[in-house]
Amino acid sequence: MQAENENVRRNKLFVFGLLSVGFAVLISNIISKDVADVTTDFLMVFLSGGLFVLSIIIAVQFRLGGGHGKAYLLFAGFASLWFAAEITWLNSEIISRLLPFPEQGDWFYLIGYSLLFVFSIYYLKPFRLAISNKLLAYAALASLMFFIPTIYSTYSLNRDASIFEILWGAVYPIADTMILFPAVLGVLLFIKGKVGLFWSFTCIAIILNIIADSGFFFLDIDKSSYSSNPINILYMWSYILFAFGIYSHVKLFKKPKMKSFGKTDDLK
Amino acid sequence: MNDKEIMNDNKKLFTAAVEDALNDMGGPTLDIVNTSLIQKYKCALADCLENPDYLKNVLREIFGYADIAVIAKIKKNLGEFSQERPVGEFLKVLTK
Repeated sequence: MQAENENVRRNKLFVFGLLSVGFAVLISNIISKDVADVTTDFLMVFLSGGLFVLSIIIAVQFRLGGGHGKAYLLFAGFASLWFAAEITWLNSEIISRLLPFPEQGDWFYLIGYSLLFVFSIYYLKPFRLAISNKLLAYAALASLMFFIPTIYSTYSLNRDASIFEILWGAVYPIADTMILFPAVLGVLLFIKGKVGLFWSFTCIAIILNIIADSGFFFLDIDKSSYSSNPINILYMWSYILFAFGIYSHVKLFKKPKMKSFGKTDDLK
Repeated sequence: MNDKEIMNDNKKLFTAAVEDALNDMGGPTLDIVNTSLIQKYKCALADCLENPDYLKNVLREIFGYADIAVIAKIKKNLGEFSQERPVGEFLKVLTK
Protein backbone atom coordinates (compact mmCIF):
# COMPACT_ATOMS: atom_id res chain seq x y z
CA MET A 1 0.00 0.00 0.00
CA GLN A 2 2.82 2.35 0.98
CA ALA A 3 4.74 1.37 -2.15
CA GLU A 4 1.64 2.00 -4.27
CA ASN A 5 1.18 5.46 -2.76
CA GLU A 6 4.82 6.22 -3.41
CA ASN A 7 4.47 5.11 -7.03
CA VAL A 8 1.42 7.33 -7.50
CA ARG A 9 3.29 10.28 -5.96
CA ARG A 10 6.32 9.61 -8.17
CA ASN A 11 4.17 9.38 -11.31
CA LYS A 12 2.42 12.66 -10.41
CA LEU A 13 5.77 14.37 -9.88
CA PHE A 14 7.01 12.97 -13.19
CA VAL A 15 4.01 14.30 -15.15
CA PHE A 16 4.18 17.60 -13.28
CA GLY A 17 7.87 17.92 -14.18
CA LEU A 18 7.25 17.26 -17.86
CA LEU A 19 4.29 19.66 -18.06
CA SER A 20 5.84 22.46 -16.01
CA VAL A 21 9.09 22.70 -18.01
CA GLY A 22 7.07 22.55 -21.22
CA PHE A 23 4.82 25.40 -20.17
CA ALA A 24 7.73 27.43 -18.75
CA VAL A 25 9.59 27.33 -22.07
CA LEU A 26 6.49 28.02 -24.17
CA ILE A 27 5.33 30.94 -22.01
CA SER A 28 8.84 32.45 -21.87
CA ASN A 29 9.02 32.24 -25.67
CA ILE A 30 5.74 34.17 -25.88
CA ILE A 31 7.07 36.88 -23.53
CA SER A 32 10.39 37.62 -25.27
CA LYS A 33 13.48 35.94 -26.67
CA ASP A 34 15.66 37.19 -23.80
CA VAL A 35 13.29 35.77 -21.18
CA ALA A 36 13.18 32.52 -23.14
CA ASP A 37 17.01 32.34 -23.26
CA VAL A 38 17.33 32.82 -19.51
CA THR A 39 14.48 30.41 -18.69
CA THR A 40 15.77 27.71 -21.03
CA ASP A 41 19.40 27.94 -19.90
CA PHE A 42 18.59 27.98 -16.18
CA LEU A 43 16.14 25.08 -16.52
CA MET A 44 18.76 23.07 -18.38
CA VAL A 45 21.32 23.70 -15.61
CA PHE A 46 18.75 22.85 -12.92
CA LEU A 47 17.65 19.59 -14.58
CA SER A 48 21.15 18.41 -15.49
CA GLY A 49 22.23 19.29 -11.93
CA GLY A 50 19.41 17.14 -10.55
CA LEU A 51 20.52 14.25 -12.73
CA PHE A 52 24.12 14.74 -11.56
CA VAL A 53 23.09 14.61 -7.88
CA LEU A 54 21.05 11.42 -8.40
CA SER A 55 23.93 9.82 -10.32
CA ILE A 56 26.26 10.55 -7.40
CA ILE A 57 23.76 8.97 -4.97
CA ILE A 58 23.54 5.72 -6.97
CA ALA A 59 27.35 5.64 -7.42
CA VAL A 60 27.78 6.01 -3.65
CA GLN A 61 25.19 3.25 -3.06
CA PHE A 62 27.26 0.80 -5.12
CA ARG A 63 30.68 2.11 -3.97
CA LEU A 64 32.48 0.86 -7.08
CA GLY A 65 31.49 -2.71 -6.17
CA GLY A 66 31.00 -5.15 -9.04
CA GLY A 67 30.38 -4.34 -12.68
CA HIS A 68 27.45 -2.08 -11.82
CA GLY A 69 29.50 -0.07 -9.31
CA LYS A 70 31.91 0.90 -12.08
CA ALA A 71 29.00 1.46 -14.45
CA TYR A 72 27.32 3.94 -12.10
CA LEU A 73 30.60 5.81 -11.66
CA LEU A 74 30.75 6.19 -15.44
CA PHE A 75 27.13 7.36 -15.44
CA ALA A 76 28.05 9.97 -12.81
CA GLY A 77 30.91 11.03 -15.10
CA PHE A 78 28.47 11.39 -17.98
CA ALA A 79 26.00 13.40 -15.86
CA SER A 80 28.78 15.66 -14.54
CA LEU A 81 29.99 16.40 -18.07
CA TRP A 82 26.51 17.29 -19.33
CA PHE A 83 25.96 19.41 -16.22
CA ALA A 84 29.28 21.19 -16.94
CA ALA A 85 28.20 21.61 -20.58
CA GLU A 86 24.94 23.28 -19.50
CA ILE A 87 26.81 25.63 -17.15
CA THR A 88 29.28 26.50 -19.92
CA TRP A 89 26.41 27.14 -22.30
CA LEU A 90 24.63 29.38 -19.77
CA ASN A 91 27.87 31.28 -19.18
CA SER A 92 28.49 31.77 -22.92
CA GLU A 93 24.96 32.83 -23.74
CA ILE A 94 23.75 34.78 -20.72
CA ILE A 95 26.86 35.99 -18.86
CA SER A 96 29.80 36.48 -21.26
CA ARG A 97 27.59 36.55 -24.39
CA LEU A 98 30.29 34.87 -26.49
CA LEU A 99 29.25 31.97 -28.68
CA PRO A 100 32.33 30.43 -30.28
CA PHE A 101 31.98 27.57 -32.79
CA PRO A 102 32.40 24.83 -31.79
CA GLU A 103 31.29 25.87 -28.34
CA GLN A 104 33.34 24.65 -25.35
CA GLY A 105 30.30 22.84 -23.96
CA ASP A 106 30.10 20.74 -27.12
CA TRP A 107 33.24 18.87 -26.07
CA PHE A 108 31.67 18.11 -22.68
CA TYR A 109 28.54 16.76 -24.37
CA LEU A 110 30.54 14.60 -26.75
CA ILE A 111 32.83 13.13 -24.07
CA GLY A 112 29.65 12.59 -22.00
CA TYR A 113 28.22 10.46 -24.80
CA SER A 114 31.26 8.19 -24.79
CA LEU A 115 30.98 7.74 -21.00
CA LEU A 116 27.29 6.90 -21.35
CA PHE A 117 28.20 4.30 -23.97
CA VAL A 118 30.89 2.73 -21.74
CA PHE A 119 28.41 2.84 -18.82
CA SER A 120 25.96 0.71 -20.78
CA ILE A 121 28.72 -1.76 -21.70
CA TYR A 122 29.68 -2.17 -18.04
CA TYR A 123 26.05 -2.46 -16.97
CA LEU A 124 25.13 -5.07 -19.56
CA LYS A 125 28.37 -7.08 -19.27
CA PRO A 126 27.21 -9.32 -16.37
CA PHE A 127 24.18 -10.25 -18.51
CA ARG A 128 26.13 -11.09 -21.67
CA LEU A 129 24.93 -14.71 -21.54
CA ALA A 130 21.36 -13.46 -21.93
CA ILE A 131 22.20 -11.38 -25.00
CA SER A 132 21.23 -13.45 -28.00
CA ASN A 133 21.95 -12.70 -31.65
CA LYS A 134 18.24 -11.97 -32.08
CA LEU A 135 18.37 -9.26 -29.40
CA LEU A 136 21.51 -7.78 -30.97
CA ALA A 137 19.78 -7.74 -34.35
CA TYR A 138 16.70 -5.94 -32.96
CA ALA A 139 18.86 -3.33 -31.21
CA ALA A 140 20.99 -2.81 -34.33
CA LEU A 141 17.84 -2.45 -36.44
CA ALA A 142 16.41 0.18 -34.08
CA SER A 143 19.67 2.17 -34.18
CA LEU A 144 19.95 1.92 -37.96
CA MET A 145 16.38 3.18 -38.33
CA PHE A 146 17.61 6.47 -36.90
CA PHE A 147 21.20 6.36 -38.16
CA ILE A 148 20.59 5.94 -41.91
CA PRO A 149 18.07 8.81 -42.33
CA THR A 150 20.35 11.06 -40.27
CA ILE A 151 23.44 10.38 -42.39
CA TYR A 152 21.45 10.61 -45.63
CA SER A 153 19.80 13.92 -44.75
CA THR A 154 23.06 15.39 -43.43
CA TYR A 155 24.78 14.66 -46.71
CA SER A 156 21.92 15.54 -49.05
CA LEU A 157 21.11 18.85 -47.36
CA ASN A 158 24.73 20.00 -47.11
CA ARG A 159 26.20 19.24 -50.52
CA ASP A 160 28.04 22.58 -50.57
CA ALA A 161 29.31 22.38 -47.00
CA SER A 162 32.80 21.28 -46.02
CA ILE A 163 33.41 17.80 -44.59
CA PHE A 164 34.01 19.36 -41.15
CA GLU A 165 30.68 21.21 -41.24
CA ILE A 166 28.81 18.09 -42.36
CA LEU A 167 30.43 15.98 -39.66
CA TRP A 168 29.86 18.61 -36.99
CA GLY A 169 26.22 18.95 -38.03
CA ALA A 170 25.58 15.25 -37.76
CA VAL A 171 27.82 14.41 -34.81
CA TYR A 172 25.05 14.63 -32.21
CA PRO A 173 22.43 12.58 -34.05
CA ILE A 174 25.15 10.00 -34.81
CA ALA A 175 26.26 9.88 -31.16
CA ASP A 176 22.58 9.50 -30.15
CA THR A 177 22.04 6.54 -32.46
CA MET A 178 25.19 4.87 -31.15
CA ILE A 179 23.90 5.21 -27.61
CA LEU A 180 20.49 3.97 -28.69
CA PHE A 181 21.93 0.54 -29.51
CA PRO A 182 22.77 -0.53 -25.92
CA ALA A 183 19.68 1.28 -24.62
CA VAL A 184 17.35 -0.78 -26.83
CA LEU A 185 19.31 -3.87 -25.84
CA GLY A 186 18.72 -2.98 -22.18
CA VAL A 187 14.99 -2.51 -22.71
CA LEU A 188 14.65 -5.87 -24.47
CA LEU A 189 16.85 -7.63 -21.93
CA PHE A 190 15.14 -6.39 -18.79
CA ILE A 191 11.52 -6.53 -20.00
CA LYS A 192 9.29 -7.45 -17.03
CA GLY A 193 12.14 -6.77 -14.59
CA LYS A 194 12.26 -3.96 -12.05
CA VAL A 195 15.60 -2.72 -13.45
CA GLY A 196 13.90 -2.42 -16.86
CA LEU A 197 12.24 0.85 -15.89
CA PHE A 198 15.58 2.66 -15.97
CA TRP A 199 16.35 1.29 -19.44
CA SER A 200 12.90 2.19 -20.77
CA PHE A 201 13.30 5.76 -19.52
CA THR A 202 16.86 5.93 -20.87
CA CYS A 203 15.74 4.66 -24.25
CA ILE A 204 12.95 7.25 -24.52
CA ALA A 205 15.35 9.97 -23.31
CA ILE A 206 17.80 9.07 -26.09
CA ILE A 207 15.03 9.03 -28.71
CA LEU A 208 13.98 12.52 -27.53
CA ASN A 209 17.61 13.63 -27.87
CA ILE A 210 17.73 12.22 -31.41
CA ILE A 211 14.56 14.11 -32.36
CA ALA A 212 15.81 17.35 -30.76
CA ASP A 213 19.31 17.07 -32.27
CA SER A 214 17.89 16.30 -35.70
CA GLY A 215 15.41 19.17 -35.25
CA PHE A 216 18.19 21.63 -34.45
CA PHE A 217 20.21 20.27 -37.33
CA PHE A 218 17.36 20.98 -39.79
CA LEU A 219 16.68 24.38 -38.21
CA ASP A 220 20.37 25.23 -38.65
CA ILE A 221 20.15 24.45 -42.35
CA ASP A 222 16.98 26.53 -42.55
CA LYS A 223 18.81 29.33 -40.63
CA SER A 224 15.79 29.50 -38.31
CA SER A 225 17.54 28.03 -35.30
CA TYR A 226 17.86 29.92 -32.02
CA SER A 227 19.02 28.58 -28.68
CA SER A 228 15.78 29.00 -26.72
CA ASN A 229 13.68 27.35 -29.41
CA PRO A 230 10.81 25.31 -27.87
CA ILE A 231 12.50 22.21 -29.29
CA ASN A 232 14.67 22.48 -26.15
CA ILE A 233 11.68 21.07 -24.25
CA LEU A 234 12.69 17.67 -25.65
CA TYR A 235 16.18 17.99 -24.09
CA MET A 236 14.59 18.93 -20.78
CA TRP A 237 12.21 15.98 -20.94
CA SER A 238 15.19 13.77 -21.71
CA TYR A 239 16.94 15.00 -18.52
CA ILE A 240 13.75 14.33 -16.55
CA LEU A 241 13.52 10.81 -17.99
CA PHE A 242 17.18 10.08 -17.23
CA ALA A 243 16.69 11.44 -13.71
CA PHE A 244 13.55 9.38 -13.01
CA GLY A 245 15.26 6.32 -14.47
CA ILE A 246 18.20 6.70 -12.11
CA TYR A 247 15.81 7.55 -9.26
CA SER A 248 14.03 4.23 -9.84
CA HIS A 249 17.38 2.49 -9.29
CA VAL A 250 18.20 4.61 -6.24
CA LYS A 251 14.90 3.46 -4.70
CA LEU A 252 15.28 -0.13 -5.86
CA PHE A 253 18.81 -0.58 -4.49
CA LYS A 254 18.27 1.44 -1.33
CA LYS A 255 19.79 -0.31 1.68
CA PRO A 256 16.88 -2.15 3.31
CA LYS A 257 15.98 -1.29 6.89
CA MET A 258 15.36 -4.65 8.48
CA LYS A 259 15.83 -6.23 11.85
CA SER A 260 18.31 -9.11 11.75
CA PHE A 261 16.96 -12.61 12.08
CA GLY A 262 18.97 -14.95 14.25
CA LYS A 263 17.75 -18.20 12.77
CA THR A 264 16.26 -18.59 9.33
CA ASP A 265 13.65 -20.92 10.85
CA ASP A 266 12.28 -17.89 12.70
CA LEU A 267 11.28 -16.40 9.38
CA LYS A 268 8.79 -19.14 8.66
CA MET B 1 28.69 -36.62 8.84
CA ASN B 2 24.93 -36.87 9.32
CA ASP B 3 22.24 -35.67 6.87
CA LYS B 4 21.75 -32.36 8.66
CA GLU B 5 25.45 -31.53 8.47
CA ILE B 6 25.57 -32.45 4.77
CA MET B 7 22.55 -30.23 4.15
CA ASN B 8 24.18 -27.35 6.03
CA ASP B 9 27.35 -27.72 3.97
CA ASN B 10 25.31 -27.77 0.79
CA LYS B 11 23.47 -24.63 1.89
CA LYS B 12 26.75 -22.84 2.61
CA LEU B 13 28.12 -23.80 -0.78
CA PHE B 14 24.90 -22.84 -2.50
CA THR B 15 24.72 -19.46 -0.71
CA ALA B 16 28.33 -18.66 -1.67
CA ALA B 17 27.60 -19.53 -5.32
CA VAL B 18 24.51 -17.28 -5.48
CA GLU B 19 26.19 -14.46 -3.56
CA ASP B 20 29.16 -14.53 -5.93
CA ALA B 21 26.86 -14.42 -8.98
CA LEU B 22 24.97 -11.42 -7.59
CA ASN B 23 28.06 -9.64 -6.28
CA ASP B 24 29.30 -9.68 -9.85
CA MET B 25 26.89 -6.77 -10.30
CA GLY B 26 27.51 -5.08 -6.95
CA GLY B 27 26.64 -5.44 -3.27
CA PRO B 28 23.22 -3.72 -3.42
CA THR B 29 22.08 -6.30 -6.00
CA LEU B 30 22.60 -9.08 -3.45
CA ASP B 31 20.86 -6.96 -0.80
CA ILE B 32 17.78 -6.46 -2.94
CA VAL B 33 17.50 -10.20 -3.70
CA ASN B 34 17.80 -11.01 0.00
CA THR B 35 15.22 -8.37 0.89
CA SER B 36 12.76 -9.54 -1.76
CA LEU B 37 13.08 -13.15 -0.58
CA ILE B 38 12.34 -12.12 3.00
CA GLN B 39 9.51 -9.75 2.09
CA LYS B 40 7.76 -12.04 -0.37
CA TYR B 41 8.48 -15.50 0.99
CA LYS B 42 9.84 -14.94 4.49
CA CYS B 43 12.81 -17.01 3.45
CA ALA B 44 16.59 -16.56 3.54
CA LEU B 45 18.84 -17.15 0.56
CA ALA B 46 20.15 -20.44 1.96
CA ASP B 47 16.59 -21.81 2.18
CA CYS B 48 16.17 -21.40 -1.56
CA LEU B 49 18.08 -24.63 -2.01
CA GLU B 50 14.87 -26.34 -0.89
CA ASN B 51 12.61 -23.73 -2.54
CA PRO B 52 14.23 -22.88 -5.89
CA ASP B 53 11.02 -21.32 -7.19
CA TYR B 54 11.37 -18.49 -4.68
CA LEU B 55 14.76 -17.47 -6.03
CA LYS B 56 13.63 -17.99 -9.62
CA ASN B 57 10.62 -15.70 -9.13
CA VAL B 58 12.66 -13.02 -7.37
CA LEU B 59 15.36 -13.01 -10.06
CA ARG B 60 12.72 -12.73 -12.79
CA GLU B 61 10.99 -9.92 -10.91
CA ILE B 62 14.22 -7.92 -10.65
CA PHE B 63 16.07 -8.70 -13.87
CA GLY B 64 13.28 -9.70 -16.24
CA TYR B 65 14.42 -12.01 -19.03
CA ALA B 66 18.08 -11.24 -18.21
CA ASP B 67 17.69 -13.57 -15.19
CA ILE B 68 19.04 -16.40 -17.36
CA ALA B 69 22.51 -14.81 -17.21
CA VAL B 70 22.42 -14.78 -13.39
CA ILE B 71 21.15 -18.37 -13.31
CA ALA B 72 23.94 -19.43 -15.70
CA LYS B 73 26.52 -17.80 -13.41
CA ILE B 74 25.05 -19.61 -10.36
CA LYS B 75 25.20 -22.89 -12.27
CA LYS B 76 28.82 -22.24 -13.25
CA ASN B 77 29.75 -21.38 -9.66
CA LEU B 78 28.20 -24.59 -8.38
CA GLY B 79 30.40 -26.51 -10.82
CA GLU B 80 30.80 -30.20 -10.03
CA PHE B 81 28.30 -30.00 -7.16
CA SER B 82 25.52 -29.46 -9.67
CA GLN B 83 25.48 -33.26 -10.15
CA GLU B 84 24.74 -33.90 -6.46
CA ARG B 85 21.16 -34.42 -5.35
CA PRO B 86 19.82 -31.27 -3.64
CA VAL B 87 21.91 -28.92 -5.80
CA GLY B 88 21.05 -30.81 -9.00
CA GLU B 89 17.34 -30.66 -8.21
CA PHE B 90 17.61 -26.98 -7.38
CA LEU B 91 19.26 -26.25 -10.72
CA LYS B 92 16.68 -28.32 -12.58
CA VAL B 93 13.90 -26.09 -11.24
CA LEU B 94 15.90 -22.88 -11.65
CA THR B 95 16.78 -23.53 -15.30
CA LYS B 96 13.33 -24.91 -16.18
